Amino acid sequence: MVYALYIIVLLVCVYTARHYWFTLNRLFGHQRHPYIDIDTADWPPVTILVAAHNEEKVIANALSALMTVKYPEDKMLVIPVNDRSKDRTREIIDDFVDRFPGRIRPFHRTGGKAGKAAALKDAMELVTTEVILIFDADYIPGAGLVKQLTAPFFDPEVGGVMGRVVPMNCGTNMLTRLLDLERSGGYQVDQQARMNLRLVPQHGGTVAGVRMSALQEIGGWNDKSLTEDTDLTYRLLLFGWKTVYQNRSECYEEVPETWQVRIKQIMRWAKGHNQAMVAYGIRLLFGKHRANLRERIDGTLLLGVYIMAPLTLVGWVLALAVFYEGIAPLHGIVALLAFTAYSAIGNLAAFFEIAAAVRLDGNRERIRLLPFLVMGFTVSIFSVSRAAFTQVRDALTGAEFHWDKTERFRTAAP
Amino acid sequence: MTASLALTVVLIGAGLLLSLPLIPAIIELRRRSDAMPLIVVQDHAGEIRYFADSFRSFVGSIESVLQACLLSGQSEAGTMPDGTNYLALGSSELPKLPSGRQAYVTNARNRTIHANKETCEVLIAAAGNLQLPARVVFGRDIFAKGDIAGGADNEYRAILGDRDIHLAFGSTLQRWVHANGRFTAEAECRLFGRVSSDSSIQLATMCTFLRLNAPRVELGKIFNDAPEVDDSDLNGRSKALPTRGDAMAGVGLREDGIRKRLLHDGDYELRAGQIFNGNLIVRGRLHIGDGAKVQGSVKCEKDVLVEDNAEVTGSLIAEHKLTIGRNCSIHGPILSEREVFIQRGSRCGTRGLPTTVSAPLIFAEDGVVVFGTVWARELGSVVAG
Repeated sequence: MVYALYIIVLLVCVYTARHYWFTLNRLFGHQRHPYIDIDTADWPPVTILVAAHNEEKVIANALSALMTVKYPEDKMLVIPVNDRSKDRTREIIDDFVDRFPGRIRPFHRTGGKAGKAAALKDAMELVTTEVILIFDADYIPGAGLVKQLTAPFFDPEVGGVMGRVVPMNCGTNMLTRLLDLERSGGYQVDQQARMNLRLVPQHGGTVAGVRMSALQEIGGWNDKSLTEDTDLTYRLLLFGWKTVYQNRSECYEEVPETWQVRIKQIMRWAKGHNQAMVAYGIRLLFGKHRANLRERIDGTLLLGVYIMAPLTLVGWVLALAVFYEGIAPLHGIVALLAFTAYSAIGNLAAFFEIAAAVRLDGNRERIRLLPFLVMGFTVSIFSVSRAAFTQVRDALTGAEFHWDKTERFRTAAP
Repeated sequence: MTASLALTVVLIGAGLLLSLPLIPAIIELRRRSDAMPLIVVQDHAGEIRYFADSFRSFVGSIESVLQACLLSGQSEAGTMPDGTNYLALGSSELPKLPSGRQAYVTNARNRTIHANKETCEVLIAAAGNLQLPARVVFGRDIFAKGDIAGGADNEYRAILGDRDIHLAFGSTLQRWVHANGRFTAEAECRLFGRVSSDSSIQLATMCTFLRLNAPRVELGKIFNDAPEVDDSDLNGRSKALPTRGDAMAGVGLREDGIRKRLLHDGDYELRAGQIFNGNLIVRGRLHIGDGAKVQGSVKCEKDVLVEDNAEVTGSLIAEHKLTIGRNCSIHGPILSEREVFIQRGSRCGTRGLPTTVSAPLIFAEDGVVVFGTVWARELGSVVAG
C-alpha cells in the first residue's frame, strides 16, 4: 500500500515540476513563433470544414466570418459538415450557399455513426486540397486567421496546426470566468511552452489544420475516438509529423455556461484522452517510431493528465489509510513536512501557471478570481474520475462509448 | 469564558482567516471590472499597409485645403479634427524664414538624442512634390501627393507618398513608410518600422531594416549576372534543369500530384548538380551542393548551407542558421529561427509568385532580390558582397 502511495506521490511531483517548467519557460524562455511572419506567399488551396450538429444558434456567425477572411477566394472552399441536424442548421447553411455561390459546398449528413470524427471522415469525400482547416460551428474566425493557420504548412514537416481558443462569453457568470482563466493557462502557457520546448503541442480539433497527405498516411479520422483531436496528435507524432501551436492565431469560442454542460464536456474529453492513452501510451514511450526522446516523455505525460485525477483520489485514500495504519516509518514527521512542502509549492503550480498566463494576456483584475479555481478543480477532479471509472466499467461490460455534443448558449441567428 | 464560547471564537476566527483570500475574488466577481473577452483582432490581418491606409483616411479630411494650396501655390497652417497641427503646402519646399531657418522647424529639445538636429512638430501634407531639408527630426507624419525627397541625416516618424519616396544618406525611420511608387533609401539608412511600396523598394548597402514589402525588393547594388526566374519554371515543369550532377534523388510525387517526403535522421548532403524530387526533411544539418535543385520543399532542424546556383522550388526552412549562396533561386517562403544570410545575386520568389523571407536576423549581400516580404524580427542589414 505504501509503495503505491509513493508512486502516486512521485507522479504528482513530476506533474508539478512540469507545470513550473512550462510556466518559467513561458515567462523567461525563448518564444517560438516561426511561421507567424509569412504574410506573402503563393497560398495553397484550402478546404475549411465546419463541424455542425444542431447549430442553428451559431452556424450563421461562423459562416459570415469565414466569408470575410482575407484569403484568395479562388483558393478557399468552405464545407459546412451538417451532421444529422434536426434544427434549422441545414436551412441556414443552404441560405449561405445561395448568397455565396461557389464558395461554400455543403455536406448534409443524414445518417451514419454519431460523433464529430465520423462526420469529418464522411465529409472527406468532398476534400481535394492538401491543406484542411477545421472549425467548430461556435467559432468566429478573424480576418487573418486562415492565412495564419495555413502558413505552417509551408513547412513540409508539419502535419497539424493548432490555434488559440479565446472564450467570448467569459463574463456571463462565475463558471465562464473560471473557464476563461483555465483556457488562458492551457493555451498561453501550456501549449506555447510545449511549442517553445519542441515537445508535443496538442491538436485541439478546432481552430486547427491538418495536412491531407499526413492524414491519409496515418489512416484518416478515427471515428472510434471520442476526442479525434488527441487521437490525431498522437498518430501524427508516431508517423514523424509535427503538430505546431500558433499562439497568435486566436479565435473566439463559446464556453459552457452551466456546470452540467461543463461536466459533460470534461467527461467526454477525459474519456477520449484515456482512450488515446490506452491506444498509444506504451507504443509512444517504448515503440519504434519517429518521435524523439523528449517527445516520447512529454507525449506520455500529456496522455496521463486525465488519469491523474482518479490517481490523486486514490492517493488521498491511501494516505489516510497509511496514516491510520501507522505503516510508514516516521510517518508523522514525514507526512507533516511533505504536506507543508506540497501545500506551499505543489498546489501552487497550477495557479502559478494560470496567473502567469493572465498576466501575459495583459489582464489585471481577473487574476483575483484565482482562489475560486479550487472549486473548478474540485468539480473537474471528481468528474474526470467518474469518467475514468465509468470507462473501465463500460470496457468490462462491453458498452459502447456515447458521444455528447456540447450545448450552445448564444441566441439563435434570425 | 466558557469552553463553547472559546470554541466559537476560534471557529469564527479561523473562518475569517480562511475567507480572507476570497475577499478580492468576491469583489471582482461582483464588480466585473475585468470580465470582457481577450481582444482578438477580427477586422484586419496585420497587413503592412494598415497604418498607411489609416493615415490616408486621416489626411483625407484636409483634401480641400490641399487643393486650394495647389491652386494658389501658398502654404496654410491649421488643426486636424483630433487637434494635430498641420502645414499644407502648395509648393515643393517648406517655407523659409527671413533668417534662412526653416519655418516650423525649431531647435531640438533633446540634443543628446538628435545631435544638434532641428525638429519639426507639425504634420506636413503637400499637394505636389515635397523636398525636405537635411538634418531635421520630423516628429509628425508626412504626406505628399507627389514625389518625396528627403535630406540627409533626417529622422522621420512616418511617411506616405502617392508617388516615389527617396530617403537620403543616414536617414532614420521610426514607424512606417509607404510609397505608391518606388521607395529608395541611400546608404546607412536605418528603417525601424514597416516599409512598403506598390512598385518597388531599393535599399543601398549598409542600410538596416525590419519589415519590407513590395512586388520587388532590391537589396544593395543590383548586378545583371543573376538569373531571372520565370514563373513557369516551377512545380516540376522546368525544362532546363541543372545538368552537372550525375544523379536524381528523392521520393517523387504521389498519384494525386502531392509531393512525397523523405524524412532523414542525421546530416544529409545533396551533391553538386544533383536533383532531388520531393519534400526533404532533415533532422541534422543539410548541405545542398553547387547547382543542385530540390523540386519540392526543404525543412532542416539544424544549419543549412545552400551552395551557389542552387534552386529550391518550394519553401526553405531551417531551425538554425540558413546560408544561401550566390545566384541561388528559392521560390517558396524562406524561414530561419536564427539567421538568414543571402549572398550576392540570389532571388527569392518571383514576380508572379511572391514570397516571404523571415528570421530574427537577416543579412543580404548586394544584388539580392526578393519578390514580396522581407521580415527581420531583430535586425535586417544590407551588406557589401
